[in-house]
Amino acid sequence: MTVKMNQTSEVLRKKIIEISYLSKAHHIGSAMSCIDVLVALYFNIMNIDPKNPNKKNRDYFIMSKGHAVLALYVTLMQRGFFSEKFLKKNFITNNGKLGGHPDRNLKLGIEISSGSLGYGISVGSGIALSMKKDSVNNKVYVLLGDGELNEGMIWEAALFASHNKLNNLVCYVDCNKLQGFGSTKNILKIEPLAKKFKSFGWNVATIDGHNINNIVTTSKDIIKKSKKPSLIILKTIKGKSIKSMEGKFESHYTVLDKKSYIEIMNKYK
Amino acid sequence: MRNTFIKKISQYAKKNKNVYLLTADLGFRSFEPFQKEFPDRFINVGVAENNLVGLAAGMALSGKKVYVYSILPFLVFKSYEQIRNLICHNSLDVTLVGGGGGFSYAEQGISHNTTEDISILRALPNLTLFNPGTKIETENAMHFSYTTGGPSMLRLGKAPLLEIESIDNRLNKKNYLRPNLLIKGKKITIFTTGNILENVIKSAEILKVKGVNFSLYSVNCIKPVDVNYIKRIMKTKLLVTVEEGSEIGGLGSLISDLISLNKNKYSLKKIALTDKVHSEIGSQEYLRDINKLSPNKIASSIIKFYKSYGN
Repeated sequence: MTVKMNQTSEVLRKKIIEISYLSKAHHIGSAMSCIDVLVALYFNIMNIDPKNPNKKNRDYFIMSKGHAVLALYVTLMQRGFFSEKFLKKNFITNNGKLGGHPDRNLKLGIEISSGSLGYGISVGSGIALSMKKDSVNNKVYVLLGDGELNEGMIWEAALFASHNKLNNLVCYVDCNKLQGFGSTKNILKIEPLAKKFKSFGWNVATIDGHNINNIVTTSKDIIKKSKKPSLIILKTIKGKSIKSMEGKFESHYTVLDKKSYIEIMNKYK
Repeated sequence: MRNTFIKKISQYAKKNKNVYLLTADLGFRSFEPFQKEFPDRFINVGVAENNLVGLAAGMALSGKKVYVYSILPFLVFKSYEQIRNLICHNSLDVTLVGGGGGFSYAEQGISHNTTEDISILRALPNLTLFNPGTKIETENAMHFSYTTGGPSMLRLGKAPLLEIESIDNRLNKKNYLRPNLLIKGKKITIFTTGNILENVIKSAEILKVKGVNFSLYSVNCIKPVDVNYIKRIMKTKLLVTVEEGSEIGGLGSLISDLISLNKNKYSLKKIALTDKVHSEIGSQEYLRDINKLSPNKIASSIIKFYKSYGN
């Protein structure tokens, strides 16, 4: 299973590069750093049905770091929510259905619009709370960026989730240590992140965010632990697998030209 | 006003287990009956308005009928983006209830007085915006939001509500989105909205004594606007709007937009707050007075306008 997911992840990395190039899209580095957790969620962890995206007792996923949406689109495509042709036709095109940030469309598997950072834990907590009130045992998964943790709303919601013992809420931080102008360390220090969330009353685990097997195991274990919400800090590399982009904040903005695209794709051959 | 709100939501909660009330730690000495009767459906999220709206979105996504409360400036100005991106854009069944419209909190200062909220809320797609001036209007707004669903906002004043019924009760009961006719006349059509109605009613007495013949409408629903209906009831050349809010983007602007294609047919007098920082200190009565919204000053403005057209 893990081998298959690793293969899926590689396939989707190539798709991200190809579609970014064709569409002249940026945020490539962000998409490459979080594709592994999305594969883990959509191909193993989550209870969802592409044929019935609206099914009542489903798990929810919220893409709080909405700028990495292309990683979500290729994952939804691979999982069967829509075709590759549909994705290429609709991604940031005139009259397209798939914008540069997620826009709620249940048929396509997108639960909620995002793009302005900071919403994820809050909206996720609302869903998780409703599930508890209705004695539904499904789970809510949220993907955050580490730069996103600058937002005050994150911390309001972190308090709420812990206070209300939302142990059906699992949040991931794509911790690639880079944000808009450079490193998170230099712009607005968020470390010690694990300690911060632990002090807020959360279960916290820190793992390699590119090890899909580890993401799956940790996600399943952490939720069994106690009556707390969970945070999994994913140590990731921005632009992972594109050598010229790895660990560079500029990969947030780079748009691939033909030469770079050919060079990158040659690596995969 | 909050008591009317809490009475209605309690009725809904009794028959619908999906009704929830979320507050950002406000509503003390008003919400306790609801909290006592529905402890599992009263959620105090703490002093955190952004999270308040985010949570409401999440709960609405999972089928809950959510009512959200804070005082207006904190709810609208702090969480405008969440209201826009989460509630309105996704067209979620959330009713936002804000207490303290206009100068309701008076001497508490500019942080608490809410005079620009209508200007920005009117621009939000999908939002139904109510600014009730009477008890019945509040009940109507609640009934509409409960039965229709979708994003709505109730702007509540702090003062007790007037017990005025519309002249045409049929309109009141069936057309919650239309202005309510309170006084019927021939020479001027006056539109007002929200709590300032109490002063407009008092000014109406002065106008009657002075022989001014006018119609008075209370505009409970600011958005969506039944354009054709409003055009139908504007039967006089002289139009007046009175509001306890900014002259930019409020009721006056709404009517101004409607008549823009018929400028020669109408003449509009906007009575509203001028475009400046309203940091004056004092009671609501005082603040209204220095901003030309006391009954006497409203009447004077209207009489001056009326006479300037040869009446």
